[in-house]
Amino acid sequence: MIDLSSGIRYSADIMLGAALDIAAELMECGAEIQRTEDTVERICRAYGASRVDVYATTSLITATVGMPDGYHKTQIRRIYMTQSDLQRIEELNALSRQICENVPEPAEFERMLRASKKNEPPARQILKRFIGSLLLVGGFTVFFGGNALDALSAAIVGLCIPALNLIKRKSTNAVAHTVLCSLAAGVLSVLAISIGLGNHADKVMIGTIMLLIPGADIGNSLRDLLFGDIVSGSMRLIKALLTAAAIAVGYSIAIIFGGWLNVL
Amino acid sequence: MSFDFFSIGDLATYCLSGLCATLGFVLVCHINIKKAPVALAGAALTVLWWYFSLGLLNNVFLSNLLASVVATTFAEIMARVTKTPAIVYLSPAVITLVPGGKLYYTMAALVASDTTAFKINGRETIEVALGIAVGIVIVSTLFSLIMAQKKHAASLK
Repeated sequence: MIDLSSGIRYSADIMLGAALDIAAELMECGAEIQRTEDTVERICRAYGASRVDVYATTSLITATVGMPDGYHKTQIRRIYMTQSDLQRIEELNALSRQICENVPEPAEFERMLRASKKNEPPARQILKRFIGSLLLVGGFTVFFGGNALDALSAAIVGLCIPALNLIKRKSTNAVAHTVLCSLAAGVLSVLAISIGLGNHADKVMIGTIMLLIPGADIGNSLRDLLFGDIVSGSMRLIKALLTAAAIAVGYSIAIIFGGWLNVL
Repeated sequence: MSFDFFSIGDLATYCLSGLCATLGFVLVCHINIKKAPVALAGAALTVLWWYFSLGLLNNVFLSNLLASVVATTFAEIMARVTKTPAIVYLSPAVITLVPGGKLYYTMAALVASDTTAFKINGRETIEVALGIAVGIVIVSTLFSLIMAQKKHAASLK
């Protein structure tokens, strides 16, 4: 006898898997917990789930979906690394809206998710990050009181941060990496001033700090905390504070170094 | 109320450098380039508001709070108009408020064992961070309450 429910079960499995893939990618791009949980719930409900329990933290998402025939399925996703990518959040948001409206076949849903993956060439993305760093660091150096030469110096020095990010891997310790970036940016700023590129070492360093500061993490952690996601909010806040401490360690060494060279 | 603090040169420097930095942030955080004009408009509005409120009130906490209220309101409204997550407009709008300078001077004072400077700069860093956070929280909570109310009203229909 053909088991009619097996088709439904297969669909529920694929649907939950694809919904969690979207959720995991949202978290990796730096979305809020509420948005992530909401996305999984909306998609599963659109596919007729009678029960959806989803719990997301910054490192793990787990969801159980119950279908009307009593079939239950649980899947989890582990999140290792996050890098702000607001365009991707926007794309995934649009995709999940589209999926909730049209409710495509689960296999088609999976295909849509795969098709929506970034098609921008990696070289262009890297170039964008480098140009972005240049503008950000230069702009902030002037914003915080530096002159044009300081801005030029900071913009060049600041390029070491996206360059170091290129060697960052999944297994790289995030705190150690931030210390390395801060140390490199700090020491290079001091060296740049000592060879006459720029007049104010403090302004140059402030410009480069702005590239490392965990502003998005602090903002997200507060949003999470206030919307009742205490665990994730605290995790993000601790991560942001650790990053801030790592920045302080790196730049403190650079400041001592600057003292030796008499540029501060 | 006196406008003695006002200097067109200062304001122009803040606006131009702030916009340049925000454009850099848009590229670094990989924000859709089509959304950049709105994001930059939010940043310009925030810098203007921050400049005048700091000059008029001379209070670090309040001026940052007011600026972040304006930034969040703008981001939440534009997010609904353009059907985009609010964070896409919020992050670039508040990035110019982030106390990078004060954080640096706090660290420098710590290294130099200058307790007075450490206390003053440390307190101001916390004041700015709290101001931004409270502003974001007040407005986003209000908006989520309004949206929940709207959803509830729609479900009753």
